[in-house]
Formats: sequence, structure tokens, C-alpha cells
Amino acid sequence: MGALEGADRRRVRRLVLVAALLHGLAYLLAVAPWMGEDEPWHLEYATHVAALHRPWGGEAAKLGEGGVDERREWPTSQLQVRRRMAGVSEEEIAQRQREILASMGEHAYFRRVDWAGAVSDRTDFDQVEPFFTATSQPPGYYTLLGLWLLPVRHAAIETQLLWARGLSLLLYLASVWIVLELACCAFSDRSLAIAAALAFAWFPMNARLGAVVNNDALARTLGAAVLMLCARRLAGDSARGTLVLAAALVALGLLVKSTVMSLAGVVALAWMFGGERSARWRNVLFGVAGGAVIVGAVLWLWHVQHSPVLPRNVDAFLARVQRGASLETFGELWRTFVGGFNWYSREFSPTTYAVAGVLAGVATLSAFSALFHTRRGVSRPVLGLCFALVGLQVLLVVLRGEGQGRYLMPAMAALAVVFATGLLAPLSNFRRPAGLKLFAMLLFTYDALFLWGGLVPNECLLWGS
Amino acid sequence: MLRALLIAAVGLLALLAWREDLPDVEIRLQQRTTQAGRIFGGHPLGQGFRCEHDGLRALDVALAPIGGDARAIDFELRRGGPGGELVRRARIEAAALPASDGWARFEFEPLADSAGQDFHFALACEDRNAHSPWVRYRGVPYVVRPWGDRALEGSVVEGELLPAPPRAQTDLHHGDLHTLAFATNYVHPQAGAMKLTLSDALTGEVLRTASVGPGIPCDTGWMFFRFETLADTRWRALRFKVELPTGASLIGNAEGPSIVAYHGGSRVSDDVLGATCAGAPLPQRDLVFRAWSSSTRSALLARLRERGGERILWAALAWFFALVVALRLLGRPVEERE
Repeated sequence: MGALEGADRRRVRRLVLVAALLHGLAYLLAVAPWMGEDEPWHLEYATHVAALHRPWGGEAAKLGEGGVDERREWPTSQLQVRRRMAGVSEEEIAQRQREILASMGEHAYFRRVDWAGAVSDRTDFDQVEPFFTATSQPPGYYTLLGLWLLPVRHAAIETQLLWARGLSLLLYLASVWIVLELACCAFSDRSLAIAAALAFAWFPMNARLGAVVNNDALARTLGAAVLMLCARRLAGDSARGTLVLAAALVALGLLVKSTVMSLAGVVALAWMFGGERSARWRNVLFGVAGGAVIVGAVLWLWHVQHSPVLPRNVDAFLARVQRGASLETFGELWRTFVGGFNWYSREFSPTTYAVAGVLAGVATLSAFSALFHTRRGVSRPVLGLCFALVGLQVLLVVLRGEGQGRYLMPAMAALAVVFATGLLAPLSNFRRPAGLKLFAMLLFTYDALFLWGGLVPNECLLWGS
Repeated sequence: MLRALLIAAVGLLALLAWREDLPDVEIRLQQRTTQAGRIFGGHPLGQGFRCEHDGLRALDVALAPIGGDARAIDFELRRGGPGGELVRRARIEAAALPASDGWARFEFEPLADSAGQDFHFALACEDRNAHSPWVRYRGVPYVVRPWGDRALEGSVVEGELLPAPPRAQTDLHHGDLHTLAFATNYVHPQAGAMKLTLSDALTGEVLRTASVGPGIPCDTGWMFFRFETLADTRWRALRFKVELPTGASLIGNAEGPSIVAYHGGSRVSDDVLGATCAGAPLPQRDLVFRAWSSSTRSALLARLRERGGERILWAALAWFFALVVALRLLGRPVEERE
């Protein structure tokens, strides 16, 4: 079977996008209001942007200066919002939180999320999670979402939530399209390309991310786009603009979420190894130097933005790395990547995670071997780039010290390529179409178990009192 | 289409498989912080609830072994309230009680007409036992100091709730303080009342008082002092004084007594009707329990319809058609078919 091209490619693209749209809509309808992790905080941030408050240059809290400690007057979550947003009043912040909390209570959020406690009448976000805010995140995603919310900024908060989720659905569709393009760079085999696109579109936690308000949704799309551009470069696209665009997207991504830092490494690799052989050492030198400058600038930016990503001192950093490298963190990372429900307060059975682990392990090892042995239809440089991105993404999780599956999402496109390679590439060309059918059926079964055996029953059937 | 139907059948089976795992009523508490303490002879601990379905057949109660000799627990289920008609009894022998933190199941002959009715169950022991039921207090909890490692001397325990150092973090993060829970080593059933006085740490002005008992014994559990909500408690300094009856003592550590502060609202689902001790209401709290009734397919679907609404039906349709379209990708390419 040959590459995906011509009329067949257009047909496949159309079918993949229609299927992904329907799939994304299914998740959009199935996920109950406020059931995306940290969704109330993300929406709060964006609604203030939609109210035309600039997401920088706010007023810092007085913590005792002149005998005034504003923490006595306002919850810390509200003071943190004020520190971020220019010109927003304390009353406006408090009102928005109360509005969101009332909606959360009405939609049984506190009965669905086991760690949140069942009490439904709360007055500020600190009463859900103390010392927490989304406004320590970079403003990129919230600026985009704030603009997206402009037409509905006076509507009920549930309408704004649904509208905001619509942006995530669009980002999901854009990502699926990008991954299909990436797959066409990675594979000159139709079955493998379709498998990668399906793996991305049907991976349940990824599809679910297309139905909730979260900056990881945009980080994932940017991750796929940067990887696709770099893959094109490695596949022989010599246009200078390709890597410039990729670098620009990384810069944009760093204004979205710290987890896209891994993409800078991917661009550096594509820069170093994508050019002509004679210029490789020069490129390596420029790549390393440029990378160091970018990393320094980003760390400074995060510091001035009060990002929680940065540890306060060396001891805190070491403790974080120790926690990040622990088996417990990797276990959490795996469980919340494969399937976590109700803000990760509920899970699949351990057997499900074990079976998924075995399958993923086999796929990864098999794909890794493809780096050293020729597999027909697989681009080894692109596959290597995908492995590099996955490795960097896991490294970021270790450095962050928190294992949550959605932190892997900037590398989701890479993972889709790795899984498709690992499970289908060892088959002969003749057997790959049949292998694709089996691969897809497994994927669809996993999705059915996730949605109808996990997400819907946990959100709709099992409520605490 | 056949493949899509096959996958849809898997989804449907996965959904219906839940019918055995859906409690009628359940208090789901991921972080269990406060235990009621041992059950004293003559002072059964109880809980009221409203059943959703017919066929009530079992109650699970979350118990924590807290040391000492395990004793059998007798269970009584009454219709209405603590003084209502006795409808079922059950007993778990000492050896069958959970060896670690877990559920103890009291099973009985199913009650055919339990739907929509109020019930009350009570757990009784002949003497102080080794197991304590977990309690969920209705409020937003903030742990000032977790369960300590020592009994504190003295019949009067005083201390401060501070906003800043020497504490690592503030003791009072939220406004609207309405309850303080103190870890209690022992209070005899015949002991007098315990009294809490809360005053401003700077001015000494008494702000609130509260009392517990008499007749509310406690052994290795938490005592909850509820008072009229104090609004401006965020990052404030307060002074507390606990006066204990003879023989009673608190638990704490070197810094002071173990305390959980409760703030904010207290509204919970109306199918839990509150805990009791010897039939008397223990305000604003519930034992951590779950009730099991009929597990029919129709009960599951009714709950899905009620809580999920039409959007779940539309989600199912969109999901199915997504499958149908995606399965078309698995066919031969355009050129081959032509």
C-alpha cells in the first residue's frame, strides 16, 4: 500500500475531520459543566480579559505594608487575580467567583468531585482550593479565549462556559488536521498515516481535552503544529520559513503554558539536523547558544509573571525533582493520561491501567527498534524527533514534580506517531490494512470503555451526598 | 455499520455493568480527617438518610481501627428517625470488622418499599470498641493542626490561631468561621459539658462561646464546637480557651491542640439527614456511609435520564455516527476502488 496522496488524501482528510468533529461533539455534550480540571479558574481568567481588562499590570496585594494586610479583606485567590488583571475591582472579581461557584453548585460539581467535599454553598475559590489561581499562568491562552468570549461576555456564565468549550473543540479539530499532515511526513504508508491520525483523534483523554476549558488544549495544538513543521524540515522541506514559523509558534507557546518548553528542543534539533550536512556543526553551535538565550529569557519571564513553575530555591528545586522522578509521580502520570475522571478523583480499575501499560510498552519498544532497523514507509528522522519530544516532555514533568497526564499533551501528536509505528510498522505492507482495522477496533473499544464505562457513569450516575 | 454496532454494544455493556456498583446514597469523602471516636456502651452512633429506590438491602459504614480490643457491632435500622419502627437488625462480629481503614457491611433482608422513605441506622457496642466511624462535618474544612501525638494535660487548654509566623502558614485562611473541631482524647459519658471561648487575640474581647454535652462522650475522636458564624476571620488572630470536664483531655502536639476549622456554607444533599448519638442529633454532621438498594437496569437508566438529561442521548448519537464515519477510513483507497 502506498502513501496517502492525491484524491485519497483529500478524502481521508475529509473523513477524519468529520469523524473528529462528531467525536468531539460527543465529548462536548457528555462532559458535564465544570468537570474539566481547573475549568472554573481558567474561565474566570478569560472572562476578565473579555471584560477588557489587560492581563498584565494589575495591582499587587499589600501584605502588611503600612499596617495593611489585604489578605484579611479579600481571599488570596481574588488578590492573585487583581495582581494579574489591570483595572479590575475587587468587587468584580468576587462577583465573578460567586457567579461561577453558584453555577458549580447548581450543576452538582461538589457531589461529583470527591476531594472537593459536598458542601455546595461557597463564596470564593479559596473555599474550593486554597492558595490556587490560574492567573499565575502566562496570558496567551486567556487572551485568545477572552477575545473568543467577547460576543457572549454579557451572557450567563454557563453560556460563556459552553462557548469557551467551543474554542477547545476547534483547537481539537485543528490538531487532528495537523496530525494528519504530520503523519504524511512521518509515513509513506497509508495505513500508518491513518492509524496515527486515529490514535490522536480517538485517544479519549485527548478528545476530552477538546471539550473542556484549559490552556493545555492550545498547548497541545501548538505542540502538534511545531512538530509537524519540524518534521517537514527533516523530511526535506528546505524552505527557510518553515523553521522560522516553528520558532515563532514556540515563542507564542511559551506565552501559553510552560509545558511547551519541550518544543524549543524539537526546533533546535530540527535546526541542527535538518539542514545541509556541511553546515551541521555551525547549526549545532547556533542551536545551543540560541537555546540558552531563549531558556534564560523564558525563565526571567516566568519569574516576573509569578509562575508556580519556578521553584523558590535550590532545595525546593531538588525536592521537586525527587518527587517528579518518583514511581508515585509516574504512576499518577500514567493513570491520568490513560483515564482519570471527575477531576482525577476517580479512576479505572488497576487492571485497565496494567493492560494499557503493556500495550503502550510493546508499542514503544517496537517503535524504538524502528529507529535502528528499516521499516518500510517509516521516516526514521521524523520518528526520532517524535521520541525526542516525548522524552523532553517527560523530563519537564520530572522537573515540575507533578505527574498529570495533560502535561504530556504538547507531545500527544508525537505519541500518536510512536504508537502507530510500534503497532503497525512491523507488519508487512500486505498485512498493514488488516492491522489498521484491528488497531482501530482496539482504539474504538478503549474509547467506548472510557466514555460509557468511565466518564458518563462517574459524572452522571455516581454522586456523593 | 456492523462494526459500529459492535463497538456501541461494548459501550452499552460497560455502562450497564455499573448497576451493581451504584449505591442508593453515599457520602464520598476522599480525604477522611475526622473520626467520631469509639462507640460507648449505651451511646449508639446513628445516621438518618432518605432512600431513593426500593429494595434497601445493605449499609456500609466507613470504620477506622484506632487501637484496643475489637468488639462486635450491632446494627439497627428504623423507619423515620431514631425512635421509629425497628425494621431490620444485623451484627458484625469482632473478627469480621475491617483490620484497616475500610467499609463494614451490614446486610439484611431487602425492604421492598424503601423508595422515598426516611430511615435511621444505629451502631451499638456493649463497651468501648476498637473501631471508630468516620464523620463528615458540613463546612469547608481547614486543618490548622492534624491529629497529634500526645494527650494534653490540664482541664483548661488555651492557645491562639495566628495569621503568620511562627506558623508556616495561616491558621485561618477563610472568612465565615462557624465551627472549631478539637481532637479529643477522652470524655466520659457522664461528664459535664465542654466549653469553648473564642476571643480577639489583640483586644481580648470575647467573640463567641460554644459548648458540647453533657451526655456526648468521646474517646479518640473529634469534638465539634459550633457557634454563630464569625465573618471576618480571614488571616485574623484569635484566642481560644477550651474548658474540659473532669477526666477529659485533648490531643495535640508540641505546638498545641489538634484543630480543624470549618468555614463557609453547610448545604449538602437532602438525602442525608444527619448523625445522632444515643438518639440525640449531632448537628451538621454525617457518618460516612453508603446504602445499597435494588440494582436494576431501569433504576440506572432513570438516574442517567434524571442527571444526564437529553445531552447524554445526543452525545450517544454523535459518538455513534463518529464511529460510522471513522470506520469508512478503514476501507480501500479511492484509486483501488475505482
